[in-house]
Amino acid sequence: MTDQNSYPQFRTESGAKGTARTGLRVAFAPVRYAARWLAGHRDVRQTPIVPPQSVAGTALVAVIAIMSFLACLTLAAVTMVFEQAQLWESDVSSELTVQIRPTDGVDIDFEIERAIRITEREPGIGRVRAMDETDGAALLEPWLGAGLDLSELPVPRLIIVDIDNPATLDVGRLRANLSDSITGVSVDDHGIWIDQLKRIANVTIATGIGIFLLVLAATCLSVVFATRGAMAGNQVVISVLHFVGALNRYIAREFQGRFLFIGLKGGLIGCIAAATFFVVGGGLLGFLEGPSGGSPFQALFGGFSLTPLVFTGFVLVLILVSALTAATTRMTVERYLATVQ
Amino acid sequence: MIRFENVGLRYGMGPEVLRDISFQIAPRSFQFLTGPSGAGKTSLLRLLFLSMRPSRGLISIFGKDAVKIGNDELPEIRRRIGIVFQDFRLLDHMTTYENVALPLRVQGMDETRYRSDVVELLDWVGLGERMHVLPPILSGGEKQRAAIARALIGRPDILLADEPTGNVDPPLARRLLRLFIELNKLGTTVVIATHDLALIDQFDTRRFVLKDGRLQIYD
Repeated sequence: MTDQNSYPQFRTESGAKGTARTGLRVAFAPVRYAARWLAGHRDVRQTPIVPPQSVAGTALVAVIAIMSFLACLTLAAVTMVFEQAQLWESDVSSELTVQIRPTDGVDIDFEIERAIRITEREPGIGRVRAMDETDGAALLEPWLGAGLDLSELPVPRLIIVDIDNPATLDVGRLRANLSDSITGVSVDDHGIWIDQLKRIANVTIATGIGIFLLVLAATCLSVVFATRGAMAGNQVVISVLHFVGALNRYIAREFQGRFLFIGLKGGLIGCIAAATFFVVGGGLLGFLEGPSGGSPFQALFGGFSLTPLVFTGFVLVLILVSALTAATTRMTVERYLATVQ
Repeated sequence: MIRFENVGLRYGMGPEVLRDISFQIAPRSFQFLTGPSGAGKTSLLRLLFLSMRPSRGLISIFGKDAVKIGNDELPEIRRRIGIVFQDFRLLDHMTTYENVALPLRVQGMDETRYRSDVVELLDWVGLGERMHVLPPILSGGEKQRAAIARALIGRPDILLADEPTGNVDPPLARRLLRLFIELNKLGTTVVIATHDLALIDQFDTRRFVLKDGRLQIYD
């Protein structure tokens, strides 16, 4: 007999021989074998029972690649916003401001010294420093112009307080202690800003997750239509499998293996494209650098780069898209087979 | 083994294509099913193969009421029935060897367990040299023999063949029939549907004759 192991491993279809398409088939062979193994085929060398050319594979690979690309971008955007919001929050909440308004008959410099002493006694407090009149003038310069003499104006004086340990600091007690001793004092812990930042970040993240889910839903629907098309085109295969005594779950597994390969291939292309987009995009953003050194995009959204977290997200997208493709196919096939004898 | 009692079959709301069909098929028996084209031979085979349910009457297959057999039980029963279709229904993208091995492959058997059986059977039906050829390359007779080999590889209790000699010349038809008779001698129940009366006349065996949806039996 002829050696069974001599089955063509990469059988070329008519017209495909010697073309770039054959090269791609060979390049994706490990992915194809992995998909068949994951679908439950332990002898991956056997010819697939569902003919590969009977599935609208190229179109579906393109759809899944585009969807994976969009899913990756959405996930990366959500990650970037989340990371940046965390950064903003930690920046803002790492300090608070004590403001003392001038009051008639009160020595404001003496009050500032007292306020600093009271503040320094509180646990969790780091460096405490008062802004002098020159710093105050610099802050107001954009509105009131240069050469300002603050002594002529009732301008409040500010004390900048660095927070070493937010867990031990009780802002309410600090506020009460200062109010009891100092006239015209107020404490701003930037809570309003933090709340607004959190709200904006949460809305952005929720929107991103919504878009991400819509992309996945669109992918599933595409797979459903493609599976139905594949089943319609493989009626003979299905009938033959039925009359040789194949279980419905065996038939579903055959289709699942094929579609898992398509999902993996499309997902891989989409994720690699997204990673490339991030690497190239990060480089291009360098051209937009502002006078302060960072680009406006970086100022708003932080670094546009392939961080380990973003990369992990891309891998998760690949796994999720492939698994969804396989599961959707299996469900579609099993539901169809339940209606036929 | 198989029992039909007053079985009727209609497609949708149309007239009955099979009427009051009653017969029994005993184990290790051999019978021809014949009748003019359109008499209902293929419909009767479909009922035997459980790809259709009767409109009325009782069909008992391997002791089970056909109407009560669920979709989850069908594969097990079909593995006991070998069927050869008139149009062969070989999968064109798989080699002759893979087509013949298909019933064992879908049972989850490892190829090393069935390889020698498949090769031996292919040799027996005269396709030993054609096992790595794709079906579109095979001649009509070779396809027919490949389809027969596929039906036999699982050692079924009963073999149903729909016009197995319809696409071959008379000498090959006689050879195929001798193959079926040999199988029957080895213990397989055989039902052959054909309208080739000249061929049937060469063998003295039981005949089911279908005409206008009714069945007459000549033992």
